[in-house]
Amino acid sequence: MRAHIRDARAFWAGVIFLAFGSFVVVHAHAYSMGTATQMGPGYFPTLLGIVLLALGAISAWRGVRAGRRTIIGAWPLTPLLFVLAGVLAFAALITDWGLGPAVIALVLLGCHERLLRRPLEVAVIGAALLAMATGIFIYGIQLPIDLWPSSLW
Amino acid sequence: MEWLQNLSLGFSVAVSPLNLLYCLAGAALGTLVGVLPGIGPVTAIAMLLPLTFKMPAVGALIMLSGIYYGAHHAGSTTAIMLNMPGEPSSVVICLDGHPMARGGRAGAALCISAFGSFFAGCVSVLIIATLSPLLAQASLAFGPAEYAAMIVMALVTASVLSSNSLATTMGMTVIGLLLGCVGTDVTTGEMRFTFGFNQVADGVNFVAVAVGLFAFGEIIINLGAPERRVMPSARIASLLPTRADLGASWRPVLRGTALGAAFGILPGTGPLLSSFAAYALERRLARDPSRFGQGAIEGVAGPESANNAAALTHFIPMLTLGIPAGAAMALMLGALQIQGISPGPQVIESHPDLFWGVVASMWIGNLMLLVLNLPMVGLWIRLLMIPYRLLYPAILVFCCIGVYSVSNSAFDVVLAGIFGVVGVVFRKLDCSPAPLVLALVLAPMLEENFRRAMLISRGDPTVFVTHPVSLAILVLTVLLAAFFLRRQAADAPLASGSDHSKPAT
Repeated sequence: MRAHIRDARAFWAGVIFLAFGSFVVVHAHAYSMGTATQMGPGYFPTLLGIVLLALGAISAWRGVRAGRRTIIGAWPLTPLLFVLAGVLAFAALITDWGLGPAVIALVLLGCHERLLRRPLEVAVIGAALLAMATGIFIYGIQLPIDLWPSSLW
Repeated sequence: MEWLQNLSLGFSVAVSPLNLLYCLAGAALGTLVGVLPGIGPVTAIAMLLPLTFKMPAVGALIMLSGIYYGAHHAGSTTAIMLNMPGEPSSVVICLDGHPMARGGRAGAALCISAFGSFFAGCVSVLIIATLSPLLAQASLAFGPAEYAAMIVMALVTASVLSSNSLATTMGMTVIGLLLGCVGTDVTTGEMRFTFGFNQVADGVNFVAVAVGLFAFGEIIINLGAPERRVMPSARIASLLPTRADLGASWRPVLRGTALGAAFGILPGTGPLLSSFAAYALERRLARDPSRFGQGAIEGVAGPESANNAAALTHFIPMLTLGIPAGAAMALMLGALQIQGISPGPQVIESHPDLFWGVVASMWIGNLMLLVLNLPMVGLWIRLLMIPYRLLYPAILVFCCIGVYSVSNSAFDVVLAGIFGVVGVVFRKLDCSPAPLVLALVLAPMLEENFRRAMLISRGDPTVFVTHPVSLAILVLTVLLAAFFLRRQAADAPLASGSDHSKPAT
């Protein structure tokens, strides 16, 4: 199977389109289709889902039949996991814990690769960004965000 | 001469001290963003969105548009000095701008590109001022079929131009349209594809999607790649171009301006396409085409003027029809909506100070860019020395705050994180995320107009080809698409020919 895929990027893009398209077409069944005159909520998504299926088939086919061979390079797994973790930590902390913990968590996770090698640099970046964000967003334009958890005071 | 009156109203708005400050801030930030390669106008506008909440609508739009055209203006600086395009639309500037710099004529290249841009800016502002009211007037006669056709045109042309493979970019567009369907159905009020998440009842927050796909995706990819050290390889001896440079470049500037202004008006096309087309045009017209690539001043003057002209006339479809022409424009439209202004042909009538103030500020902003770019070019180049490892934590923090503040929703930040991962996957698969964001914004408009048109025609889909205006728009779309696909097909054998010589393993 693998040996027949020539343009891996086009092939896997096509596979994603096919998967997403079939999910949409199947799921849109839950909504009423209506008629061409009086379209129900399911009509437009179903139409788009079918178009996406066709595009996915074309792209996957091109991936198999492509003239030149292309491969997908290495995946940036470590930065992906840490940046995602940082953003999720920010989301988890911002409402109840405030801007301070959220920014600190985001910077610590975002700068994972030098946390142990250059702890001072990370600390300075974190402090500077927190000071800037506090100055601009809390004191400057007064967004309704706490700096620290309000129960502390 | 009604537009002269209107322009003077615009200038009276734009020269208020506060608005001048916003204009300067936008132009300076745009220049910064244009110079730094890891961050584009979409990310910058998303980061600054919360700052605009407390600003008056005019000031907000003045600043955000300054970022947009400032970035397009400044992308050429790094292209000339470092052979590193700050923005995709300045890729062609590298071809001749950098050889000029290596030949010791960096100053002349910078100067010609700055003045070419400024001239193109002046002309484009006049074009916007004359054409927008006419177009807004004409668009009052547009029915749902015409609007649907316009939106399809924006989506198709944006897809055709985005990348090499039409199937994948069209696929991205359709995925964007499907994401735009999430939320409450306009006609029936039924929830679609929400899967129990009430946070998306009003639709997926496109600021979150844009930040995820562009900012986070870009950061993750950059962190996975080895860090690049940039060193300026050219010095600026003198900023003044020679008499021969001026003589060789005034015609390309005129041609580039005309080309860029024309392409910019069409939704979906824009700066990237215009600069490439202008370069091709100059090379074809040149008496000695072999000079191109060796440091021909025409190869800088033409594309750079076209780039800036298109960046400005790109505002016409957004300001008059409410159809954003690209991802960055879509974010500006979002900023307007947050301010309670619903974009469309009525904006010119109902908010003349907003429309004309922004148009006038574009001229002022272009003047500021001239000052920001020429005497201060050394400063911007030095900013490039900021290592990426100090820069990206700031982008992360400000993007997270920006996404959160749109509706004080932590859910949106999670969404941005997820789309960051999606963005990495798409980038690795060579799928450009820009059509997706544009489609996401346009989806509700497209669906509503499509359904209304079909309702009026009693379910007859030929309504889109029997209405003359809608037919004309669709024919133009097909022609544009066919033209660019043929160009790509003509270029393809050149690109793949070399690969065929290698044994396929």
